Amino acid sequence: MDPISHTAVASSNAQDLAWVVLLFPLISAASIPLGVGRSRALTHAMAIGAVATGFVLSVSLFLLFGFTKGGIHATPLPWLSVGGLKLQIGLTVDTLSTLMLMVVTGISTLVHVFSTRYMDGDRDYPRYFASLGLFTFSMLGIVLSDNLVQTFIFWELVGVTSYLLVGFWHEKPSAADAAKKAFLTNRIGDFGFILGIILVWSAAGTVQFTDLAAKFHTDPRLLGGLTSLAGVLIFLGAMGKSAQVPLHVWLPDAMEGPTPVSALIHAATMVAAGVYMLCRVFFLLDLPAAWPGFLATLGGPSALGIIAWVGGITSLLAGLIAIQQNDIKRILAYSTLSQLGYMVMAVGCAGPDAAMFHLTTHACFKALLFLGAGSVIAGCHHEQDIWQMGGLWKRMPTTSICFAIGTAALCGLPIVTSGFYSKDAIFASALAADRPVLFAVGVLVAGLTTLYMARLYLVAFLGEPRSESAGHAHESGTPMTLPLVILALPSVTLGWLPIGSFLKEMSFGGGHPHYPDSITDILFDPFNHSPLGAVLGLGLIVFGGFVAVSLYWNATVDPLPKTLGWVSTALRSRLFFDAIFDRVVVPIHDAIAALFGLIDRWLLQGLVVRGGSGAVDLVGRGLRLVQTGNIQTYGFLFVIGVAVLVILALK
Amino acid sequence: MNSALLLIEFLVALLGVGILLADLWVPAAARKTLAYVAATGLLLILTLHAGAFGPVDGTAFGGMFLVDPLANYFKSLFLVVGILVILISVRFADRLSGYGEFVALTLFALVGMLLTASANDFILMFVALELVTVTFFILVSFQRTRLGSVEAGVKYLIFGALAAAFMVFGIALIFGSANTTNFYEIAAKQGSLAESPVFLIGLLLTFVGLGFKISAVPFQMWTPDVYQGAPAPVTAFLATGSKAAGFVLILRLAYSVVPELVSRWGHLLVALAVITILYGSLCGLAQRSVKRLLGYSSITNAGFLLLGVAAMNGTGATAIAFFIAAYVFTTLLVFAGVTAVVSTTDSDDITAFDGLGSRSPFLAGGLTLGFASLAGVPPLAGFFGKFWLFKAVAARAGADIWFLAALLLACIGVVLSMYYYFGVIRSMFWPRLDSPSSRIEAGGPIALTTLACAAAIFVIGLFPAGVVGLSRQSVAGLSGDAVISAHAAAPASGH
Amino acid sequence: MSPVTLLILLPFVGILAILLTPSKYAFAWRLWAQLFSGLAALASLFVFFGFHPGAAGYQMVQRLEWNSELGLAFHVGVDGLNVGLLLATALVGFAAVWVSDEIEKYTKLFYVLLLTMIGGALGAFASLDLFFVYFFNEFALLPTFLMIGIWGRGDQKNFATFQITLYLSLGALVALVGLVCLYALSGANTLDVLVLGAWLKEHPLPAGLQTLIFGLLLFGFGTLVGLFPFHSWAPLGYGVAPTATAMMHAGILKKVGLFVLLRGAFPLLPLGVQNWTGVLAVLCLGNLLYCGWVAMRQKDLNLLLGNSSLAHMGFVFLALASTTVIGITGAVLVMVAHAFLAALEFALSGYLYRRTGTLEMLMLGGAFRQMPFIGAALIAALMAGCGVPGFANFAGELTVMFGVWSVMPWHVVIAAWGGLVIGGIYMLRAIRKVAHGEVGKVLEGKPDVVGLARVPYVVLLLALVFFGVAPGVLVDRIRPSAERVVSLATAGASKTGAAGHASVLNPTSAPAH
Repeated sequence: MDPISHTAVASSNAQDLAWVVLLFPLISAASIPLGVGRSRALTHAMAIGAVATGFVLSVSLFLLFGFTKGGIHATPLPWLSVGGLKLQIGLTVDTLSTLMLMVVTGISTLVHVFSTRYMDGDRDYPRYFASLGLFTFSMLGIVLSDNLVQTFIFWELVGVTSYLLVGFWHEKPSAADAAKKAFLTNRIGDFGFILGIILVWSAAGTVQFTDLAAKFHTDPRLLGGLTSLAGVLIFLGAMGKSAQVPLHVWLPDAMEGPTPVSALIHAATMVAAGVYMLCRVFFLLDLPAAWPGFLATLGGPSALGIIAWVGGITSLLAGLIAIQQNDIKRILAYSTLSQLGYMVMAVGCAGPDAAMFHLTTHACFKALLFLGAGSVIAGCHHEQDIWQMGGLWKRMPTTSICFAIGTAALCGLPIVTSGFYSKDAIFASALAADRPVLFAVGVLVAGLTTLYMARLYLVAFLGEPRSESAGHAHESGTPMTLPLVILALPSVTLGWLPIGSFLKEMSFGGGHPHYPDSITDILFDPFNHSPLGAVLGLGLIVFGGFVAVSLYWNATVDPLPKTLGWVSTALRSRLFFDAIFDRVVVPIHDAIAALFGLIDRWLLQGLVVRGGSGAVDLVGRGLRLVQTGNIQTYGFLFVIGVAVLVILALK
Repeated sequence: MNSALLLIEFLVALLGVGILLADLWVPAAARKTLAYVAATGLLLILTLHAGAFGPVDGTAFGGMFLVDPLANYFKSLFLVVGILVILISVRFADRLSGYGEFVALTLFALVGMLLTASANDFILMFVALELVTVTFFILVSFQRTRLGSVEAGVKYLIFGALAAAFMVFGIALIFGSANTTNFYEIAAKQGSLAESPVFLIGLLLTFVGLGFKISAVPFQMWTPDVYQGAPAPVTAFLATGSKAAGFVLILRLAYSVVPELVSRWGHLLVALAVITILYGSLCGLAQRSVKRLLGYSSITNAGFLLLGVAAMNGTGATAIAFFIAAYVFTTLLVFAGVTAVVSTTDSDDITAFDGLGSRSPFLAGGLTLGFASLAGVPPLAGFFGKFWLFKAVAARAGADIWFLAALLLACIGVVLSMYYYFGVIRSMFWPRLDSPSSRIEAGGPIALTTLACAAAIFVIGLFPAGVVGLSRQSVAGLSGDAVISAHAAAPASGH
Repeated sequence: MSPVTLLILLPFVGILAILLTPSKYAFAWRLWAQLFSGLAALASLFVFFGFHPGAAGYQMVQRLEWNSELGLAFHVGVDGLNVGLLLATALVGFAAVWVSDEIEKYTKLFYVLLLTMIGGALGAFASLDLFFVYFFNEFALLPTFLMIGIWGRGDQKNFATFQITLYLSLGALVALVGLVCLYALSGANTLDVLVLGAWLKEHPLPAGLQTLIFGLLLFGFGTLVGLFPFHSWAPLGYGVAPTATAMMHAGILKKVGLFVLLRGAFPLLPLGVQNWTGVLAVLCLGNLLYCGWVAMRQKDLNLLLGNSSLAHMGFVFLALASTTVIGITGAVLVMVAHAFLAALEFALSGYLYRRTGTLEMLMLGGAFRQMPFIGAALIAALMAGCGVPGFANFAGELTVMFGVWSVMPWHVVIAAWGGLVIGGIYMLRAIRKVAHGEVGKVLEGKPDVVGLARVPYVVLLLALVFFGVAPGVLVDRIRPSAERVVSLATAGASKTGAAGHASVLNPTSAPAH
């Protein structure tokens, strides 16, 4: 073990182990360019070691502190402090953070392992693991953060490191562009986020979560007319990271990164960060609606309301778009969007517990799916179009089975998958929050999910191979299959744990959480807890599955474009969101830039400087005409001068 | 009456005559030695003047001739200028037929300048000035074979005559209205004289004569032509000695003879100063001939000095005295380099300076320092000179918007002149492709001058206290401050 | 002798050493420069860490009467305002000397001028007598013009030199007029900030004069910093300047203007502050938005960097306009951070230019593949330039935004947009074009920097990261001075206007604690 941890343990306050969890990935990442990178084995040993240790420690932290209400703080480091602005780097160790810690480090470990094979042979192998380490570090920073500013700091770092990972193959223009797009889209969200933070600070005078919670508990009207605005601004940050409409455009493109990276970023970490952050500051969003004068007159909705709707819309649109994507990773990307929409909606429906529950389960099965996709892509010689695949179940049995499990979990197949339970918790919160429309949306999306995932599975794995590469597909060995198998387990079982209720009790001050007692009670909990959601959900899953089978069983081409016509085109072109960004938002900035560029060039440097100097020069030359060298002229001017002088002086 | 007071002037004149006679015997080849003799002689006189046998204040010729701190301060300056100009001129010896006479004439002009410093009477003032002017007629046109030189001589002659005419007429009017030409007596009754237009006109016309000497607008036209035409060392002498001679008189008149009148003309003077500055800096902009450019630069500097006159306060007087000291060394530093270049390339066009950075790093360095000092870059003397002048003007700027405006306009002037100074530096260090590459030798005397002046502008710039102290005592006798305080009490000035 | 005096002297000793070394030993010129800039760097580290944080007032003070009659003294000392800047100056100077092996002609003159710049800048920051601040600043400015003129590059060289000379000398002179007026009219016959400050407490200048002088100082020094709309000299100037000059000027000399405002104008002329901050608040938007947008437009890397550095100055001006303790602290933080950043940026672009002979971003590309070290450093620098945490700039700009909010919330909104979004756009575009993508023709086969040649880049990067990770080290040093400046600048002036402005958007105004 590393000396750091020794000291941390020695100093008898075990919560400081959180520092070790946080810093290990950073240390390994830093060590790689400083020499470790010379040896590949050493490189991934170092990297995996770091995150694996992190996972173990996270579990122990959870067991140590996960069951104490309110949690505990590791020794903070002061960052800067002037006047009313006191900032520190501090770590919260409570149920919420330790749960998230386990998810992040766990998934990250598996992704690392998977990568050793997937990235094998890449010339920038060391850089890859270094970036992966940095990314993990940044993500852990958000998870453990105990104040808004620190969250923002690591928030930005996640943005940067994801930029490095998505743009890992930076010579590929598409990859470089995707990375840029991801970063900039996130920046728009961060713009709102930081303003929200400053706004909250200027009212409360602190950015510490605990102090804020206390302050807002005693005085919910602390922010006065800006309460809802602050909430929305902070949510803007989440919209960027968790890719909510209309800031979702970066996520599908981000598939340009290596597939394991997609698994990490889009399943467990970056995109989840938004939801996690919303849960952290839930007490800020939950405040009674209040808007500044002019908006209040319009009877502005509460922050939660807005959040709920954005989430709902995102899940719906993404679900629809997913139906008509053909790139295996893009389908998964849009399904991620849609699931994130679920979680955000859940937060908006005052169900952060449900959101976290779904986040956890989703992390597992979505990581499973992405890694599965990675395995497939590797097996099919980097073929990503599902229509070029088919019949993979014969040649890649392990992958196929695990992928099937993942699919089932994503669709939320009752009883046997975790997705069912977490999804149902969301439906329940929607109902509880008395938002029938959103509930309907949720259920509908469940159907869509089944449709596009079944489509994916039928086309890619069943049927006959539709291409050379699919014909020679093959498993890629233990380092890649093992993580799938490992992930399959929680994808099935995780739902049986009462994570939601537990979080409600521990972190969200839920009054009387109910814990199922008997096995049957556990398994059928949703049916007696929130029957409507469960039943309807089930129904739509069956329906979606049925549609999918009828359309895609042994299909060689997609029948939908014919039948749907322009709708399909719209879906294929992602409902034109990207187009809007590329043709409207960006050009506006460029136009202004062009205008100012001209002003700078022609008005300031041209007219003022060149013109000014030109004029001066002209005057100079003009005056020198006086210097004719002709004595008569001189004499004349001399005498005139005298006369003028005398007149002026005597006046 | 004690004629011991004239010792310095007497010695210099004697030296001049000595050189003139020696010139008859010394073989043409050894003429240069005459210059060294003269320079050494002046050096001795300088030590005598500044040293143990130091001057005693007093008057001679019935108050016509005055020895006071101001006079002594300027006399030391004149002597220094004399030495350095003669050193510079050595480089020109073989171009000046009859070099011996040249040195002698330089010394006679010097005598004139020394006398101006001591003039305490309009008559002596006129005589002294004419002595200077007339000798310069000859000096300017000394390169008889060069048309430019002769033409310049003619121009200088005509304008000198014109200015002198105005001055004589002015002095006549003054005498007519004041029944005296003695500075003290006029100062005593300036209160009553201030009301007599005749006196005022007379005074103005006298100032016209001085304006010509210092080449202030509107009497500056001759400057560029003459500076360009005259032999480089003579130009140097014109730019330093002759200008200083003008200013010592202006200083005396403005600050101790008729301060009330002058402060009444505050706004007029400020206006003239600013116009002079801008005229000089604007015309210099597109200038190719470096000597001509220095002519414009000398106009600009005259403008700055006039600002000090307009300020009419103790700081102003001190600043003028200080500025001139700084200006003299700076200008001579520049002319040392220019002379070397001109005498080698036989051209003072800016292209003659191309690539000097590699053709003679030493001269290039000296010139760069000189121009930088002219541009007012610290830590060189020129910077502090401007700073001090600006302070004098700023002291008035608080109450009088004219002076604030003057400051800001002066800044524009500085920037413009800075631009053309850098034009020369530029051609020295980043030349065009086709620029000549032949080396240029500095030569002993030039090198000596360069080093001396460079040292001087560094010392004055880094430790101005000394010179500030000297200039302060030199003007201590003047009554500017008293006047300005009185003036401030009743700010209802001229118009 | 105070270590500060020693620090200032070192570069000048270096100059002497170089001047006395005959061209027979030409190789030694560079070594001398490296040696003495290195010693200065060490000295500055000593000063920085020897400085007692949290202590108010000046430390390591030394006063040598220069001329009591004129009331001018060589008076140096460090406080929160300049301790960081001194460190930055010495380190950047060190780096600038190190990267200058690109110079071939007139090397002697070059290193003399470069050391002059360094020494001048150190003197300007260390001086407590405004006359000497100005004196040293001018002293450092002349080399800038000469260096751009002599070793400058590109076809726009002449115009650029002309423009930068024009703006900087005019700005400097207007500022000089301001200082001289202060000197002549205060009645204290001194420009020593301590003496003058004490005097003006007793005999404050009339409001009219304060406004006048403050205006002169604001626009004079503002021009030296590139305050909108007097900024157009900067990008082009840096575009053509030799690497070391661009590093020193963009990084260091530019800060002198801001520094004098904080050292002199704000504490000494409270009424002037009151009457001008409104104008400043408007103009700083020009830097924050306008210059950012202009930067988006640039096709040449150096022009882009030049405009972006103007945008960064916007944060400082914004903080000055707010005159809040947190804001001013942030401002100084930004100044120090940007010193390192700008130096690093121009060092890197300079290397690219040296190797490729162009900075047209379309022609470059793939730098990260071709030159891993330079590429990585460039990405890091540009990231720092768009406010990424972990680099000092983020800490500074964040602090500024927090500080300004209570007074000018809408400005913060704009600043955030300019810093986060616009800054992000042009910086990422630059990375995309220069570092990412296929390796450009001009870059093919061009070597990376190796071995000791990496030192300057590493030094600057480390500095950026150090103050990014532990800004507290600097903030604890700045805070007392910032408090002093603000208390003096707002003396008697109840910033009611601003408070009222704030209350529009922010009912419960700034936190009381």
